[in-house]
Amino acid sequence: MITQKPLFYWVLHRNRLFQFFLLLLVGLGIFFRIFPLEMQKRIINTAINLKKQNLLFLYCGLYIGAVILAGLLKYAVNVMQKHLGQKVLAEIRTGLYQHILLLPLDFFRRTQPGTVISAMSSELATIGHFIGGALVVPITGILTLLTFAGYMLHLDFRLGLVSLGVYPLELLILPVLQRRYNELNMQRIDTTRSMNDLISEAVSGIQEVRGNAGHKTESEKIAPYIAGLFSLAGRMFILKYGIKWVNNLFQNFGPFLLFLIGGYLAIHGDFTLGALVAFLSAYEKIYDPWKEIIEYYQDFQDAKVRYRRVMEYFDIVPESDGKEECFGPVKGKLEVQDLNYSINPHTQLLRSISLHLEPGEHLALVGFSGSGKSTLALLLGKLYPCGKGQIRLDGRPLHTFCRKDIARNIAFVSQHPFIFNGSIRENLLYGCRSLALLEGEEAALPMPDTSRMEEIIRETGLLDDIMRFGFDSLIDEKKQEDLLRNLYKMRMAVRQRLMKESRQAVEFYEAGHFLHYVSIYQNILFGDIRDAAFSPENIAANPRFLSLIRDTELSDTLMHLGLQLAKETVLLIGNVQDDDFFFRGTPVLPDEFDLYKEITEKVRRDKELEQADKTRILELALRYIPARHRIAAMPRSFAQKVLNARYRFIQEIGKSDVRNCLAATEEFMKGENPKIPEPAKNKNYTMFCPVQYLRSHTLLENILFGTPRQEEQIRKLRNIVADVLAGEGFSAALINAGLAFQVGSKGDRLSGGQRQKIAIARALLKESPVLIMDEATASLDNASQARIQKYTEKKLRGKTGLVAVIHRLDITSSFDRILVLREGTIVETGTYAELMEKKGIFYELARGEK
Amino acid sequence: MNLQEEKNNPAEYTDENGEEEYRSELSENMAALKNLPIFSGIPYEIIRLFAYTAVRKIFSAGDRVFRQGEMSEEAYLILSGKVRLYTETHQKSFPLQVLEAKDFFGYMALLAQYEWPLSCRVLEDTEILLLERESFRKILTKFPEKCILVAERLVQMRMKRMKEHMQVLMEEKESMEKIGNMF
Ligand SMILES: Nc1ncnc2c1ncn2[C@@H]1O[C@H](COP(=O)(O)OP(=O)(O)O)[C@@H](O)[C@H]1O
Ligand SMILES: [Mg+2]
Repeated sequence: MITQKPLFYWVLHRNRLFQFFLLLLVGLGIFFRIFPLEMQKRIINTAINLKKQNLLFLYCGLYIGAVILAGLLKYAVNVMQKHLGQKVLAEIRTGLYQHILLLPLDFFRRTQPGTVISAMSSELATIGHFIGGALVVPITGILTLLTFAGYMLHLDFRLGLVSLGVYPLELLILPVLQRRYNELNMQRIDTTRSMNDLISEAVSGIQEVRGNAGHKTESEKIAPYIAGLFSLAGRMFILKYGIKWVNNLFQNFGPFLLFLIGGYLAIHGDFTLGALVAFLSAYEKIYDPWKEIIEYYQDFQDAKVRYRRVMEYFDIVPESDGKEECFGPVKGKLEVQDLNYSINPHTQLLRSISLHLEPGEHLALVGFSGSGKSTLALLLGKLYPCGKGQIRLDGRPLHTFCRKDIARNIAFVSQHPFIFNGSIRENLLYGCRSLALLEGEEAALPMPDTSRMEEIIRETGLLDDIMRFGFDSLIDEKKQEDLLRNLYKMRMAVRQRLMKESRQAVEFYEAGHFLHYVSIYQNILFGDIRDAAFSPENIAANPRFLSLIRDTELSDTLMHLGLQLAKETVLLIGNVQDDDFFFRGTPVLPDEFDLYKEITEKVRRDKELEQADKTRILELALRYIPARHRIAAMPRSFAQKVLNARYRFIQEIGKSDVRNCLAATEEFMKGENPKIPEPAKNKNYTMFCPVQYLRSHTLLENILFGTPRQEEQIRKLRNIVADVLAGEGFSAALINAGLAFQVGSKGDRLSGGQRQKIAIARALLKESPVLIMDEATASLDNASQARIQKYTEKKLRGKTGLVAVIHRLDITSSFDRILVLREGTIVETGTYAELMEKKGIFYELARGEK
Repeated sequence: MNLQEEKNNPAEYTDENGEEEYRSELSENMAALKNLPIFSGIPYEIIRLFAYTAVRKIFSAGDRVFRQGEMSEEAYLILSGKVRLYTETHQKSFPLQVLEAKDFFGYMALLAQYEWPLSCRVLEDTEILLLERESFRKILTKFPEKCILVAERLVQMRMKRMKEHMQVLMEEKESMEKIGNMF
């Protein structure tokens, strides 16, 4: 088990060849570091003393060569060390993560995510730094130290002995300080974990925190940990730098002794000057390895503490104890005999439960809340460990099945299903894909094909949601070329339908018309532009755009309009601006209200407006949508001016041909097939032209090629478009686009019902012989609930065994048997009719429901 | 662009002289609302909020505005055109009163949600101003004292109708047409 491996296991048993090579380089490095010292001595004693120029050059050359080589080797060793450390770190992380994910569920009930996260990320990270140098650093250090020490002793035995003698003294003091440091370090780790737990709790529960204005409460909870970390860090630094200081102090004793004794000896001629210089250099050099050894010692202690702390925490035997076997598919006969379940000696959750489920039979679990229904469901799904032999699947004790078998044979939909961050498709295929990964290529069951996916999506009532996501998505140009190629056809078909059914539903993008349902900005640009200078935020200050509206005599009109919008807004909703509801009919955004109020004040007092104010006013006018912002009206010639500006924009900035587009639009409106015009010369611009794909518009907008006039008609329009797509054989493309919808962390971008439907579909796609649903349809509306009910009744009975925990008793009538639970025991069993006849607890419950 | 589309594009107006003149839908709505009895004595500022939140809708001949049994969400003021109220019982419908421009009906919907006791269908192309309960509530919470006045007016109008209704009953003239006039 990974958690039992000591820290040095990773150093000694891994990457041995690599380590050996590293050591070799280190040895070489040491040689090239000592070599210059000898050169120094020779330069002074031989070359300079004997005044031999040739020798001087030779020694200097050798000196500099050795220095460079030593540097290069050091560089290589450093890089390789870090590489090695990260490699081992990756190994530990992978192994530990695997281990953690297999720990009993029980473990996760008492462990917060923050603890696991900080263990896996920050705590292990420093261990990685250490491991890279775990062998090399001390060996280098000690070898270098010994070499230099030997060299010093060789130069002068007495002197060497004296100056080296101070080091052992230091070794007495250091461990004492370090031990205290380790204790603090341990506390620091624990505090950090607790803090991480609190943070991750607050982040996951942010809605509740906000809803209760709990930011103060949460801050208060975390305050002691922040303060604790602060004080711990303070104390740790005192120790850490204390160790450094002790080290430095001892270090400085060396030169002092050297000068004192070496100087004395030199004066008395017992010692050459060259030797003294070499000695001093050597002493200076010895400091580096010593410092490294001390730092290594500190790192080692730190890593040891962290490593032990991490591993201790997860040192639990994973659920599977290796005695399980994989049997493959089962028929799905479930038997429970005299099942008891307690979490501790005092709390027994289930008492002598017995039940059996033939393959394909449907069983309902009902009962009071807290009666143990979920507990029983979890036990049946082997999500809780169960007692020996109390639950049998196809005659074999459940606990002898391996995890893969359980996953393949039992599909579980929990009361609060979890949705992973990613696409809907990934979520739906989570079960199937995981199984395929475990089985390996050849043994894997085939992944559900498109028609199967579609069937399940339809049966679980997800189809509508997914089509809506599809409509609201941007077309993936690579994956949906087919759709793109047929876009015009689709537009035409939809338009023809609309002409027949609701002529007024959509305002089409007609190049020759002023549009009332899009902003003035869109009216002028009349296309998609991927150039930040022309984005809605920046355009009001864009000189090219400003000169364009000046030339088309729009500047003053727009300023006038913007001011009118601002004035009206301030006048109208000045007293109610704290409610966003009242901002529906104005282009002013709630948080801009004060700004525009200030500007209107300035105008009222006849003050000169600054350039920035004018920009904001222009921005407001450009945001104006005539049909939505009815607080202002526009003069008639305005529309014509806007059209002029549009044509000039298309030509001068968009570098596209207006006439072509006008012709194409006319033909489109008449229902004919136009020529494809040449693409725009400005690659960033796409005109609203019926034969163009609009990259920043959704699929629905692209197909409608216009703006829906009324919000409440969007649903109807969606249905029409879906119909047309189906007629042209593009339903699958639409569904695929919808399946690619990103659901957000924990499925935050989905409704509770959508999450549940996805969880049900995910379970159904596994096609396992047993299905367990714990109040799986509880948060669905009645229609969706009935639809799923009908599906399980019609399609699954006789094929898939079902154990369903159900809250609404009226839908239990279609089940083969109903078990009524109370306080952990089964109090009634029978069919719906039998139980109603009996006029017992079930009857009372059912009556209470009505 | 056909005629109807033109009509559907609000906020584009010129006065008779053809000169450029600013007249927003807001001011049009204001003009239509300010003379309604329920707004008499209510500050200009608040009526303007009603005018601002009101929604214009264009119906074509034959469209249904609401249907008996549907939940009420808004009150209606006819700006132009004609509508007919009628009851539906056992798949038969009995035509009742015809309402036209400036008629204000369904106003109790502002106070509470209830099932429409009648249906309403458009006789010719008609433009209606919708006052939604949601907006009414929002404004009510901002100006409770003033809006209580509006609520009072609504109840008073209702009671006046009721009195007329009682009178008709007492005079035992129960022709369908007169009952229709009750609403
Ligand atoms: N891990 C646990 N520790 C303590 N009590 C638990 C635990 N899990 C469940 N319980 C208790 O067991 C009882 C049954 O829970 P559960 O099976 O969820 O009921 P339900 O029938 O509503 O699904 C409840 O009273 C609950 O408090
Ligand atoms: Mg439960």
